[in-house]
Amino acid sequence: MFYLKGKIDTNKLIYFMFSLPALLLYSFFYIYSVICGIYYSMTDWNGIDISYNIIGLDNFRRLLTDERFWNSLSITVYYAAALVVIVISAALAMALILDSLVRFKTFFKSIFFFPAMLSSVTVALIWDQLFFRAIPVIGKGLGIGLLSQSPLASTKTALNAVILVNSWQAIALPIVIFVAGLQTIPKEIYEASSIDGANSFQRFRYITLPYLIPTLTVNFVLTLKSGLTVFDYVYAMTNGGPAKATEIISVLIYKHGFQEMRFALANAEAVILFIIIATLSYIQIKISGKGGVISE
Amino acid sequence: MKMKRFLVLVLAAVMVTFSLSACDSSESSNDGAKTGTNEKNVEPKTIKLEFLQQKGEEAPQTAYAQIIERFREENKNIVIEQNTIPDPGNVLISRIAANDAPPIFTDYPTQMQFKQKVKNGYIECLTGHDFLNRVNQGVLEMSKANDGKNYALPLSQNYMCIYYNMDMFNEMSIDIPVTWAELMSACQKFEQAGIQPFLLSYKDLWCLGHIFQSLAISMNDGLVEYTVDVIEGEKKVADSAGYKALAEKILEITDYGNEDALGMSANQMWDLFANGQSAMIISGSYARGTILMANPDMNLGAFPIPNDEQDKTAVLTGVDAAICISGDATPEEKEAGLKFIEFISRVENAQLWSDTDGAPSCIKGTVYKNKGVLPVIDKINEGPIHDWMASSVQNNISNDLFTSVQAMIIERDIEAFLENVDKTIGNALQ
Repeated sequence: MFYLKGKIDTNKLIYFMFSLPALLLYSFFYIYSVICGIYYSMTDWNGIDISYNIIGLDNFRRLLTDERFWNSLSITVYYAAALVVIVISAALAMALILDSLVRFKTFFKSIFFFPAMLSSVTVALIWDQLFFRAIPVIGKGLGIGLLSQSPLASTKTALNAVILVNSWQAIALPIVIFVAGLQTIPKEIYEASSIDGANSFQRFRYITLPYLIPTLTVNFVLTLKSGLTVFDYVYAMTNGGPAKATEIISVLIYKHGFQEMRFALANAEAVILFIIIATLSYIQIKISGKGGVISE
Repeated sequence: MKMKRFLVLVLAAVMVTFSLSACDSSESSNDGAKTGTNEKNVEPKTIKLEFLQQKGEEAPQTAYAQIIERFREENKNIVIEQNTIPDPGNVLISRIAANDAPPIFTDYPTQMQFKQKVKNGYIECLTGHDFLNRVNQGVLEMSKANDGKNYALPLSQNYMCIYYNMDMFNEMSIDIPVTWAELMSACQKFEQAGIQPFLLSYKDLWCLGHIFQSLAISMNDGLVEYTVDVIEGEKKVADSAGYKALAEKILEITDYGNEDALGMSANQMWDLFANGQSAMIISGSYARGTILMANPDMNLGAFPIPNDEQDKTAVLTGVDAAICISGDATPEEKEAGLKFIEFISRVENAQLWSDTDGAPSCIKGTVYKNKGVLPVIDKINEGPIHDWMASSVQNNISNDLFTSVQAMIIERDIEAFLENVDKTIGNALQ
């Protein structure tokens, strides 16, 4: 690893030493926690008692038939899927528009990046007030039945309302990444294709998109992961309610762990979530690593 | 390859040292606290004690701050540092589980979770200390753990009630309703006059849970005990006439409430009520300070949630803000903690605390001065009273129960609600 013609390669060693602190911190705070989590998922610890028993895979077996867990899992999948579709398509569209601007490009980029600088809980609480105080007034004024009360108060609209707020903020970072990706595409190719008579859709389909695949992958994975592990927006706006309509998996884990004193069961749920995310990320990286211009 | 293996070894060694050093540092900080011992001929060293206090409202914080200041004058070498955090119950549990319990904290001695902490030796026993004799006997009995001993000093009582806007009641010449029928007719009068009778907050599950429990207990029909029987598998909620009547009452009161009850948080409810947006709300003693802070000029009154028959009305009341000492505290911390508890239990200090906090004190000899709330306090003294559900029903089951209530309010289907409760209790016990 550090050998170069029989001698230690000092350059590589220096690089390694630079990354060592991060590696150690990462190992301690992430890998160690994951191992602890897996261990506790095989116990019956309630979070308070000094003693507990090792019960093997009983918690996982129990979860297989647990209606609340499956309900929560399906809500989470819906949440993540909706978030990915909304965020990726909207961010891509915004990035294309921003990139085509001739003037004030930086100004508009900063404006659209602004939501990313706010804390998600702040955003959630502001929107909570908007939903409660402003939306019903607008809904009643316009005679729209669906909006005549806070969308967070109905089991039918609460989840979509939270997704909307999450998207509003989550779109900011992908826009910037997409814009950066768009700027790496050589202008000559567009010129050449114009000469060949390609229309704007064809230019997008055969030039922009292939060049954007790596960027798309990054945004896709980031958004998917944030959708599957979202906690703050839901916790701040609905806390899983009304009537469990927004009880996504991380809120369920939190409730089981800290409110209902089923710490071990909560850990088993967390382990399942971990496996799902790890698998999805692996598949995603494998699939989208192929294709695209830059990775070839 | 050898180099690789060597590296792995080094890495592993570094990680182990890293984790060990983390343990070391925590131990040495404990040692730091232990050094506050009194040796002969040496000035007693100052000892600092964290006091994790579970009430986030401004009134109790100020009340404790005043007591701490007085305490400091008498005990110059003990510094009590009040710590108030969001979500204190969960933080306390996590800290206890991580062996990082604060030396003094407040907790709720009648709750099942508290008894579990006692069982694990996390809380110091207080039985045998004279200051316990200053507490009302009934409250002291109520807050005993399973072994018949006291592990906390009950300082104040909480209760659920209907808060009402006295000016609105006077203008409409409506008397305090003492039966459910009178309450409904009062609601009707307010509605006809264009005044919102009730503001309800069904968004926060805990708040909905409090409303549910206070209505259940006002009916004085043994509903909590019935629930315990259901949990033990002896009965079914679907067979309970009491549960059905309770569900009907909830829907009745919901009809006189705000349309957006499911979207309204407790804070919004208090705020709007304080500013004259409704005649009444159902809330607890904890809300009083916040309501008066939102509108200091409000004429705030409170009365018990009425039963169908006046003399059967029962009030939901429990032990609030009880102070305890961690079982893991050092002897010096325990000694200082006991001094603090003794201090706060003196009549003059308990009176100051109660005056500032606004909740009735559990200490003998104190006087309650909030006239508006007297109908509730009198009823509590007269009885019957009942404790919170958390003293006999596990948290996960009551949370499921309140979620089912939320669904019933949305769907307005009582039969489905009763079946749903049976089902969720069955699932929870698996």
